[in-house]
Amino acid sequence: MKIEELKHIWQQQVTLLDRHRLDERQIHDLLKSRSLTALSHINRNILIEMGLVAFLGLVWLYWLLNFTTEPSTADVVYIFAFVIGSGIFYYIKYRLLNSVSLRTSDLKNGLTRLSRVMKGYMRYYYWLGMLVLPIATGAFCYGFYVEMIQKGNTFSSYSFSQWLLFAGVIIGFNLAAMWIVRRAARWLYGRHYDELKACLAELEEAED
Amino acid sequence: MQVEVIFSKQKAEKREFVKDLKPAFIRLITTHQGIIHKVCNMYCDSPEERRDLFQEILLQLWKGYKSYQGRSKETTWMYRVALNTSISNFRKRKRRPEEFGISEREFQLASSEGDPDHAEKLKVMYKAIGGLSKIEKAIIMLYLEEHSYDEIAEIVGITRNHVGVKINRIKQKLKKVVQPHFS
Repeated sequence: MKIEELKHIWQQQVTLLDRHRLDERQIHDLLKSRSLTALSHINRNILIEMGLVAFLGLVWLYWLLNFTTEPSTADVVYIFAFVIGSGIFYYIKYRLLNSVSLRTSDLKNGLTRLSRVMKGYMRYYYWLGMLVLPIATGAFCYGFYVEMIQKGNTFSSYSFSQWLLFAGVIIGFNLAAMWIVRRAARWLYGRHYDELKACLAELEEAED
Repeated sequence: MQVEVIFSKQKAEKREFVKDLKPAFIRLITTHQGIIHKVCNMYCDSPEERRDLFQEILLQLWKGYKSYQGRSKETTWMYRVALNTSISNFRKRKRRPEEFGISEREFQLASSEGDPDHAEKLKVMYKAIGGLSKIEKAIIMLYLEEHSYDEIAEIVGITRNHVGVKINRIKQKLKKVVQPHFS
């Protein structure tokens, strides 16, 4: 068998391709559809997250104005800072993401940039989760402390074993949440990232 | 006010520009759609996957066409976009055993018109290519399409020498699968 024979067979597959031929109308219609690439997925996710942040901001503002006795200006400013800050963050992320082009670069260059973006995106999800954890733990501990004071209790009102249980719950919750965050970050784009890395490694291997 | 006029004028110009481009783009795709079909056949097993990938490549080509300035040959550019899209394509899909994918293609090939011997050889060839990695598939496809080493190097982004090394390795792999059927 010679490679020329393979070339010949390959180039003769016209009949097969003709069966799938599209006319101009069909091509025109296909151009109206939605993209399904990883970048398009992430772009759509960014838009969803931005919408969610804006919605949360509005709910927060509504709650503050209608269900609190004395809403302060500082609270309102805090909400706006949260929404605007998130908006700027998402905008930067969107711009960075869309600096990757599959249409202008060669395969190796495109894969390098895309895997960098995917890695950054998975890290972002991981560290965002890690950042939320101490805040949630702190808020829980503070809530417990406030309730303890309100009930007229002190630290010594609880036994050592009760404190031990409390610490165990906190540590257990954090460990479980860390595991979930790590799994979630991998679940989102982990497999795809591994595939990209494998392709890239193949292109970067030595020429010998 | 003046700024608004300038912006609306720019928008209108952009719309006109895109409108002018579309017929030329559709003509280009109609002429060279075989490239996209071949890439889709290479990377997809089921007709649904092929259709999705075809659509995705088409969209990426259209987005890129607006900024494509003829720096490279049209077909070279099409191969580059099509292969980039196929290799970095990401869809949540059910994993299915390889043999199911092959049999679907086999069915298509078996029912194609023309020389049955050729259909059989093509089937074996696709099976052999199916065992290659995504990068190897891209390189051997460009090679079978008679692209020069320099063109392959340009599309893939590796050196000319590296292309040569890769092609030799791929030939060896293909030979192992194809040889018993062809002799």
